[in-house]
Amino acid sequence: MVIIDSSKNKRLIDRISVRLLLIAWIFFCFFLQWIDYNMPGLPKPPPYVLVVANNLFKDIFTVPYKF
Amino acid sequence: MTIYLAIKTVFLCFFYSLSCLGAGIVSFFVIESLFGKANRTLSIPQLTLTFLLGSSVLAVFWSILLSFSLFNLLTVITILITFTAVGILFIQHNRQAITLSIDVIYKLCIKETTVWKAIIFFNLTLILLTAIVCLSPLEPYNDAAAFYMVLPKLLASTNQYMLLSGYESFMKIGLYGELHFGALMLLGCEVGAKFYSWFFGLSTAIMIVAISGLAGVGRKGQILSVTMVYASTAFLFHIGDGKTDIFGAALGCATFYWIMKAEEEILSLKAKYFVLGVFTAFAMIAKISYALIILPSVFLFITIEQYSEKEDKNYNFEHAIGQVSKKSIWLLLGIAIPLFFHLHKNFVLFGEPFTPFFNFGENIYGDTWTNQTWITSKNIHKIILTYPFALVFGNYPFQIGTMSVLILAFVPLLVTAPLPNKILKNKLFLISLIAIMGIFIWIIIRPGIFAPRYILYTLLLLIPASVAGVEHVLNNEPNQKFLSAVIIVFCLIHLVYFNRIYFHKVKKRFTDNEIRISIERFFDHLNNVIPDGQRVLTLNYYNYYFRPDILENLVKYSEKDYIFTSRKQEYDNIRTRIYEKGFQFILLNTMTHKQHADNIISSKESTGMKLIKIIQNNEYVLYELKPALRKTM
Repeated sequence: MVIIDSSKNKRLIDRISVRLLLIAWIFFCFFLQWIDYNMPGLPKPPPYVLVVANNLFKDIFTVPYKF
Repeated sequence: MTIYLAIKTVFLCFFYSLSCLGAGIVSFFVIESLFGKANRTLSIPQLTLTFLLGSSVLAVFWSILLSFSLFNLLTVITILITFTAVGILFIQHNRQAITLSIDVIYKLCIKETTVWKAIIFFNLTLILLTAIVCLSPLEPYNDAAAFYMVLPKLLASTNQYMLLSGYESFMKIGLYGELHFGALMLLGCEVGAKFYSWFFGLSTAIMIVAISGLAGVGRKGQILSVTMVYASTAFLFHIGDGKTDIFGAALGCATFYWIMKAEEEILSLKAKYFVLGVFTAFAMIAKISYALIILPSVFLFITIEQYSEKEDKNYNFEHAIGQVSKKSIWLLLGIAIPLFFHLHKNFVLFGEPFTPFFNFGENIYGDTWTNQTWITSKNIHKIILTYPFALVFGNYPFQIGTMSVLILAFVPLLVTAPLPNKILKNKLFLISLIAIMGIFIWIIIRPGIFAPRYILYTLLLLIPASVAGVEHVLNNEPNQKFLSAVIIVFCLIHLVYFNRIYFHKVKKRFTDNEIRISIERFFDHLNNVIPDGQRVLTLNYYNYYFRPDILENLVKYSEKDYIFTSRKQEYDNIRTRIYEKGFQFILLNTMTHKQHADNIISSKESTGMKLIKIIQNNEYVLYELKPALRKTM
């Protein structure tokens, strides 16, 4: 038994949108990892979009010690 | 570390591990004699499980010896040689089966395509690098230099249980890795004692691979599960760092491997749940934070397992309740035995066996080592909102490592896999449910401690679900070539990059060591300057480098009360009070204890007690206390 999209009798994996979502998710995770590793291989100064992404990442995934 | 020392360390740790295997064989033999013989097949995971059980039994032996001041070289070596002999005999007897198991794994790897061979190669590189890290010198500002490697040094030198100065209340935690470190230090394997954690790292990976296999994951998924384990820095950074988190992780995974595997073996209910209890208890002792999550997880597993039989024809509710009760009794009996030795340790040290269950917060020692909160409640909310990303990305206070991005990236692939007919009987579902439940329990009970290492086993149990999705896409979806290619390419890129980063980190431990060498030199000088029997009052967190006899005579808690008085600002005549308690030297860490250091240096002494500077480096100063000469007429 597999997960079936009953409307078109197609498996989820057969839908291009699902496949694209899965691929996009993998890319997104690795993009976050790349930022986490401080974006190696960037030209200096880095493109503005990536600077913003990096700052946003730091805002979300950094907290100070309690004291 | 010289080549000779490295070889000696590796040899001693292999000898020690063989002894653990022997102890495990004897333990299983005793259990089978009591509860009926099992139809177990010899396999690498089974050998690993035996090793882990044996290691736990040896920890109990060391605890008993320490309680009765018998933890000396002669008794330890006698026990080790006895169990090693059993281990050697077992290996000799089962040589063919063991060789066959290894040969099967080797042939399966050889059959793989070049890409998969590359992934295997990078996995092996990571495993090798962890072995090299284990042989590196201890980092001077690590928790291990404060407690986890200092306590074993003290135990090996005094041959008995003794409170470690400055960390008295912290000794309420279960001692497991520390006892093994102590035994290895007794054998003359001081820094190399942490090499023993390499075996536990490998055991954790084997357990996860075996759990994945039992959950229906194939060869490729199992190879990737090794990648995910070793690419998780929360796991990787704790191999060879001198801390003991990896011991708990291996035992936690072993608990769930046993619960899944025991179903396949002809085992009596008593044996199955008794051994399960033993592993559960040792996992809790090895990492006390697991106590909050492993017990509910095990009970949940038992309940679901019983409930899943509802669809069977002969199902009877009363019978089911009876079965759950019986299983729980044997489970609790299994937990009780290791726990008894833990409570006995607390009785010996504190005179109060149940000390971990109350006085958990601030205690008679006035500190809260065992009840810490690192983050403000506002930031705790922020972290909770970012789960599960926070487990993989970012850098939080005292976190020391995250989980692998591969786990998060590949988990959604599970939606492509077939849905099982009987979901409650599906092992992959059960193990994933337990992993998720463990994370939720931790979020509810201890959100202020955000560090994957505190719940490492439960996070590692997410790996089978992640690799199951990958396995399905790669093996059963021949039309999804692009998706398969994305998976493989990202795995390879990640492994290459991760290997590179870790390689540089390992290299740095051997090359970039100016601070460590400076501290080691300072303490070498200090250990030479201080005569035998003289006491040092130390205002410093990291006491690993002290000579053992100095370590034995550090300030006791009762003395601290007298020296520092009840009023915190009362520093007048402090030098006199220190001297009255028998301290001739004071070691000040001017970075971590600056306020104390300034107060002692500037205190007004009515007796004229002087401080004479003996040695100094950037951070530490050693003073000698000299009473003023009496004026003569």
